[in-house]
Amino acid sequence: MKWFVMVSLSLISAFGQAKISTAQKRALDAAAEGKIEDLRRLPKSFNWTLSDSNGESLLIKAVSTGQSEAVAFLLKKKVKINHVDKAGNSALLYAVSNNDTPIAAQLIGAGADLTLKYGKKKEHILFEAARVGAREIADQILAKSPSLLNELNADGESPLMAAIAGAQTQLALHWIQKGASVSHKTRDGKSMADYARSQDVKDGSPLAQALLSQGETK
Amino acid sequence: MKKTVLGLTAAVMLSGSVAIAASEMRAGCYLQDKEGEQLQGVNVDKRYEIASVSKVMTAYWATKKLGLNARYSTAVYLRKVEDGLYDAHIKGSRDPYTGREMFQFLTAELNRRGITKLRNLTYDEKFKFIDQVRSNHIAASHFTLSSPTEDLVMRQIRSVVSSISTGYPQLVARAKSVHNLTLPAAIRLNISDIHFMSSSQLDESAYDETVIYRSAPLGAALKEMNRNSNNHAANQIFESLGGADAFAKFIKADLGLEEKDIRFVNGSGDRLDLEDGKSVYNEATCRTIVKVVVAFRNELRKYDAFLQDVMAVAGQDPEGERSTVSALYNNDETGDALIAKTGTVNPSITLGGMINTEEGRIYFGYIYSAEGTAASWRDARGKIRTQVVKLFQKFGGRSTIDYKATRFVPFDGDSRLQKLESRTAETSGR
Repeated sequence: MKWFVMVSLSLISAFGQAKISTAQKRALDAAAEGKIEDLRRLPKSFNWTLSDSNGESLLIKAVSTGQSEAVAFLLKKKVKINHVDKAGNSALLYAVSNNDTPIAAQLIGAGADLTLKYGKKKEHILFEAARVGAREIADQILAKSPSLLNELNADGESPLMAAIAGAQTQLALHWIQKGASVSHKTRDGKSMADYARSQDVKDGSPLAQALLSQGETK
Repeated sequence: MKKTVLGLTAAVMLSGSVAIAASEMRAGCYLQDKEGEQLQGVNVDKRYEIASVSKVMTAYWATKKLGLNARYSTAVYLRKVEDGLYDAHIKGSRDPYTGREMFQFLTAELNRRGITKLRNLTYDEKFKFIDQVRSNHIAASHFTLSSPTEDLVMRQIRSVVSSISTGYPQLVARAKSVHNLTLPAAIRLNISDIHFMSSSQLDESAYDETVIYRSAPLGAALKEMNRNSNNHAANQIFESLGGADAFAKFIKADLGLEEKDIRFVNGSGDRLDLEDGKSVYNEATCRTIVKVVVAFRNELRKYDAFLQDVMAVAGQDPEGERSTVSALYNNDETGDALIAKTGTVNPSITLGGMINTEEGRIYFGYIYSAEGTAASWRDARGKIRTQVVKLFQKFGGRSTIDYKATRFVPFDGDSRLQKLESRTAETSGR
């Protein structure tokens, strides 16, 4: 009985939500609101890896509200650039989700991990770029990690499929030109043509022609 | 007992892992612009936080009260100290785009009048100066109703003066390209002292002359405000019109909307922090959102203008200046046919505006719940994206708007400093 209680208490303290002090809460708010002066006033000993009860770090707070100056400031501190919140999302994912090119560039330039996987489908960052049509950000990602273009998620879907499903034709065409494969199928047998059909891609349209010319047939 | 402890441990372990609360639609509505059509939707008369969709209401109020072509007039009082040296006082007008670019233009105009050195530059409480006023991080920043403070304004002016040429060549190019306005290749201004002087301390008779700077037309400022959802600009416009009480009176008289329909605390939709530590937000019903968008469109027609002239169009942004609508909601189904305003606050993610479809114009609003977390905001935006696409599909798909956005310049050819002939001040801004 005793060891049950001890193990439980240890686990509770490990996983339980730590209380945040008033000063720490102010710092998190300052990051979210871009209050650089407040962040500058924090002592050198401040814990820059701090996160709130949702696992949102100072960096995630600043990124999610588009505070590029605060992001630049925090990246000079000892923040954990690849920290993920309780939803399993990183600062870079939120920058891409917001289609925020300048902030994404800051994070990629500072070495954000492009190989992290997100969600149940274990998708890398290019899938998020596909959903919002973040072409400039995708180009930055591919410049550093070109193999991501054809790296599939857990269901066997490719970023190109995600772009077509997200009605991001211009991005899809761009990726086909860059060498995205058009010929593979998902785990449940869906082809690129199936994705095109589901998005009502018309015969003779630029995307249909690009898929045909690269070898994908209906 | 063992089972209870194990169960408790498991529960704690699980609660410490993924904890995304899915965002839900709080309200959603649409109205087809066709005779006899009624508003359709869910919870259309329940009031919720509408976030930056508020800026559409602010823009509508400003247009109704001032006129789409109105200009903010900022007075500059000049006094010659000796040859080549002047004192200047700026009587502000709460021009929402009082920043570096406006100041650079002002400097060019002073240089044109032979003024390159100021002994004292003073400014009053309505000169709400922010260096990078158009930037995305300023747009998204949190401001109080009195922001920026006089002290912050002074520091901002000093910062701009010490780097007066930064960004100036790009401004020259943009002024030429957009307005065919030729500015001098270089500007200079040396200022010995900068400090605040309240409007109550101004003695107009102590100055030799007054010149007036007039901003670009209001419509241009509204378009820019809505492009990147500028909280500062929205609050300045709102407060210059009289603030929350005046807005409540206006919206009731103009559209018959009462507190149960709409309750505003500021122009931006951002939170307002109260003294007791609580926060409040602008709230409105979905029906109200649609009603205001319709009214705005009708008002704009008087100026031969359309909603796309004051709100962002997905996929149609000035080069290098993407709107929040384009960033979040542009795709093959919506591009060039979605005119909307985005909204993000802790409790809500919102979108309101108009879509152009094969079956005509559809006015809409969506209000989704959020928990103030990046994950919930992301979830909500994904769901709104789906709703907007479905709305397009319901009405036969998009019909693209023939529109080309131009870049914003806070001044134009009619902004050149003009002498105020009479001592009666021409300044606007309340």
